[in-house]
Amino acid sequence: MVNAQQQSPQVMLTLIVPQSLADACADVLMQIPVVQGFTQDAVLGFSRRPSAMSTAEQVAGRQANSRFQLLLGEDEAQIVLANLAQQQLSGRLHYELSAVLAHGHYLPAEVR
Amino acid sequence: MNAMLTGLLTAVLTQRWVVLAFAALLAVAGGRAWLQLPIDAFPDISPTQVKIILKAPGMTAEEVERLVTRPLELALQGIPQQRLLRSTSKYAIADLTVDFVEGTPIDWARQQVINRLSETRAELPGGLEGGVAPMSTPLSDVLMFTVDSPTLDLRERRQILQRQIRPALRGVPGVADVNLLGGDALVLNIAPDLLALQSAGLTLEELARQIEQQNQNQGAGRLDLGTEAITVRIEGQRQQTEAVEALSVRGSNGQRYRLTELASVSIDRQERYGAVTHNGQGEAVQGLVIALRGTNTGELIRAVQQQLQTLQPMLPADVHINVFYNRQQLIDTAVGTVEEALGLAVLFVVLVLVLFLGNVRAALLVAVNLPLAALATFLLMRYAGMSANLMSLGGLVIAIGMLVDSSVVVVENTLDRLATPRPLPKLHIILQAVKEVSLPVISGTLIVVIVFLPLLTLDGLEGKLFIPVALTIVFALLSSLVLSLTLLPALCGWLLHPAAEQHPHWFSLLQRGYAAMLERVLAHWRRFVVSLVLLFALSLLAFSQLGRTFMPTLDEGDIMLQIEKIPTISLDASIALDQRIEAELLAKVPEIEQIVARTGSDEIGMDPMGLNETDLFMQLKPVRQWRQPDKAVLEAEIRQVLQQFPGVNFGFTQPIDMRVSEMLTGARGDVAIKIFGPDLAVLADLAAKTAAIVSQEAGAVDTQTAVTAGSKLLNIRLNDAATDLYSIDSAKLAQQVRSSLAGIEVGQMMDGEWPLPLLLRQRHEVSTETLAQLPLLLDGGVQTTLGTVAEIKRIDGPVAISRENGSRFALVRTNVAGRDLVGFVGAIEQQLAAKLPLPAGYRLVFGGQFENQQRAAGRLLLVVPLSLGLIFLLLLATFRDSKKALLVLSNIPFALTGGIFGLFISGEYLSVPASVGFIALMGVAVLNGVVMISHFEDQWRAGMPLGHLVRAGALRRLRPVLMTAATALLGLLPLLFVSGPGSELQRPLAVVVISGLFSATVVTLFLMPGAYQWLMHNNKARK
Repeated sequence: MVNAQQQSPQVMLTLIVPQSLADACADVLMQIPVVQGFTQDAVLGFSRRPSAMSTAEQVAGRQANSRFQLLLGEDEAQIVLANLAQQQLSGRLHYELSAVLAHGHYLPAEVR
Repeated sequence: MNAMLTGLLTAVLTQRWVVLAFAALLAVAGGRAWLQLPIDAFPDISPTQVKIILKAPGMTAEEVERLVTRPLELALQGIPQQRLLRSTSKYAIADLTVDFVEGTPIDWARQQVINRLSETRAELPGGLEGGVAPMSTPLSDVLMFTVDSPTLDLRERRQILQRQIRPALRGVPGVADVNLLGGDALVLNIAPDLLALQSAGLTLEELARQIEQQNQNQGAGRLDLGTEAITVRIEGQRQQTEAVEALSVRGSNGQRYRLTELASVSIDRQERYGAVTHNGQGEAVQGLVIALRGTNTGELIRAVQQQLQTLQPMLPADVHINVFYNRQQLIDTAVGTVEEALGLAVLFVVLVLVLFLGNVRAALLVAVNLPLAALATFLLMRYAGMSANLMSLGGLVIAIGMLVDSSVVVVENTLDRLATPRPLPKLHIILQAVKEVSLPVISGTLIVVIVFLPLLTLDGLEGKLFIPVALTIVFALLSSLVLSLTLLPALCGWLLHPAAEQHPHWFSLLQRGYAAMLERVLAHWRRFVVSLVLLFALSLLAFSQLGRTFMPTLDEGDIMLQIEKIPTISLDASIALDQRIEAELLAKVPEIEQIVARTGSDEIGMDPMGLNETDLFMQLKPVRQWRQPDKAVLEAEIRQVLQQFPGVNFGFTQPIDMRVSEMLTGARGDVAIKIFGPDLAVLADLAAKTAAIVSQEAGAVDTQTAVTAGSKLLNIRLNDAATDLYSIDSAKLAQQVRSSLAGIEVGQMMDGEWPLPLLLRQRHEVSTETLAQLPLLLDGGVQTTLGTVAEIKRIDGPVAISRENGSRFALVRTNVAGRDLVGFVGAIEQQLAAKLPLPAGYRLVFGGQFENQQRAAGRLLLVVPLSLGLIFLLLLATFRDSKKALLVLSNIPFALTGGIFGLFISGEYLSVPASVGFIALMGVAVLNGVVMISHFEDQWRAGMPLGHLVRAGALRRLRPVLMTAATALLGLLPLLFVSGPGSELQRPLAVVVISGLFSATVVTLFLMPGAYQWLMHNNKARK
């Protein structure tokens, strides 16, 4: 049987920013001490607000965005959100907080 | 694109040592390429051209035109890719030139002409000599020298040149030939005694025939000797004068005579068709080294000089080879001018960088781009088959200020990012910093490259001069761009560290001043825009007043005079006149070091001038020894001296300039007016009247018509009675008369390794008065005089008949001084239209430099808007918004304002170099606009409020904008002050760009922020 290491209850902070602000957002997150790590991927989004999309994006029907996912404690998540609120890009940023039921990773067999 | 750039930058920052290694390789390869690049003063400006020179003995100009030139023109007209066919028919010479369109391979063109000539040869009169002339370019004449000796006479000196110097130099790789001018060509003269011939029952023809028959070597065949084969030959050719004297001649009575019993045999000189004089002190012998097309001139001249040094000990002790023209001097001066400008430009640029960045390390980092981009440029030039010359290296000087733009933006942004303390890896900060500016830098550089593309479409002389400029600039900019995005980030990773950036104190003051001024401009926006528009309108007015010309003449350093005397002048009189002119010039103009003048034809036949035509070469002393360092003053003094000699037409030229003019149009001069029509007398009359009208116009200098009339001939025609009475026909009569004048060639004698022509030529003085008494020895031993059997009449005829594309024309040429070329031509066009109505069938065409100007202006008017369109598309791709693209483009007219005022105030004309300056200015203006607007866009996307982003963004971009402007300006500043060959071409360009940069910078710093704010307000309001 494989042992799994369980972690304390966490939230998943999901940030969605336009692709053009991905680097800036990554830089900001990397500078927040409580952020131990994050994942980033490119996603496509749709919005009924046409002004949110450029002409090319309106033609394509979807917007090029970047999604960041951070696994944080609840308090830590609030620190991160407060920090992001002070940044210029906050006006273009969408965030979601969702509860994480479980998370972990498997230890190497030698350690067990 | 972003992903690709990120990938590239990541690779560069990860593999910094590899990048450094590649940079080192590039430096080595570039250095090697520089050493291997052919170097010359100017690019090869020769068009694809094939010349035919045919000698038609005894034919008048009109006969040559009718029997040789016109049939040949008919045959040549069908050749594809042909641009122009022109010809000159003179006494005994037909000279045709076929110009092909740009890019036609020369070998193919020559073959086409050779084929047509062979096909037509049968239709042409017999006895023609010559054919397609040797391949040459205006840059072919690389070294000229005289062979001087206080003790050796002209014959001996010519012999040394012919038998020792010429063969030695022809063996040097790259030498096409060595032309011989002046001196006496030797012959072994056989002067028959007519009385002795009469008693031997021989005629001149019979004597000539017997001499030729006996003085021959011939192969007879082969015999087998065992397993070997032996050649059998008949030896008859004499090797010594005594052997010729001992030739046996059989008389009509069967008796044998030694040749000395019938004629006297002695060394004499051949009839001369040209001569060389030196410093007014007698005749000289000149050698002219002709280079192969495409040779590395610098290397060739060194090899030739080495060979001459090796040869010197083998020549008689008092023989001195006096080199009076050495292209290497012009190359050194031209390249030196560019090197001086380059060195100063690099120094200024580095100073600007240190001043603005306040960080020596960063300044040197940016400056590293300069030599590496230059070395990369040399590598690309080598691959493109270009040579290093005034124009291509001049392009590098022009580009120096712009080369650092991309690296300035990259390093400056990196410094700025590193100055903000952030707990992020340094390499990541550098990546972000470079990524932020990479797209604007790439599009900015591509914009400047596109802006120079129109130059690549230029045709003719201006194309050959400025395409190397454009290519070098494009190579340099692209090399700099690649280095800015590869080597520079790698070096930043090693050399730059996170540190609080300290702007120099003066810059902080400047920033505060700028912020205040920007605030005022934004507060009074409309007023500011109106002032700019008014200034622009004023500049348009100034533009309309600007003079227009083709381009300044490149100063080659030396001065040449092309002199034309009366058509009937004898060689001796021509030589005497040349010597008087030389003596007078040397006495009155102390700046002249020495004068060598060449009259008439050369030996190879590349330049068949008449006896009345002289090219006078003046080698000048170094400028520091002149009374006034102004060539125009010198020319004015020389002009005064020449005006003392009535009946002499003259014009100023330079060695390469002369060849270029001859090649391009056949006519030298700023303005060449060609009058086309059928009748020579009418043409001559119209030409004289045109010259009179043109010479009255302000600015006209050295106005003259090409001499076409005034040739005098003594026409000898057999009497009908004579043909009945005597056994004589025109051919026999021609031989008899020729034997008293030019002589009849009857074979050769071998003088060691050298053939010596045998010439049958009577020794008696013949003049126009005594010609009728010329004794003739006819068949049957009958002796009579020329006047008895023939009618001798003096007739006048044209000296030369010029044709272009099948039509005759007369030429009037003039130079223009103190006035713009286009204005001058406009004025004389009006004058001629009013005062000189042309008869039906006659038309007037303006050519020369004026023609070049019209062509260049027309081409630029067409392609510059096209390149602006391309730039618009590029801006559209960058900003994805047509309004923002137009906003950046709006920089251009206001940027040009400064350039126009600069030209107007400095008094320079609008010329091709100035147009190139405007093109460069457009590129810099757009580049600065792109940098500014890109930054605004980034801040807008990041959510910064409009009012704040415009002020903060403009302030943030102040330093890079000022730096790119300052480096471009100071990079070009040396071009305003250097003198020497090429500086006259680059000065108008520098004036335009430097003055234009002031207005371009103002527009970028004040118009762009305000216009962007206005545009975004409008967009918001619309939404």
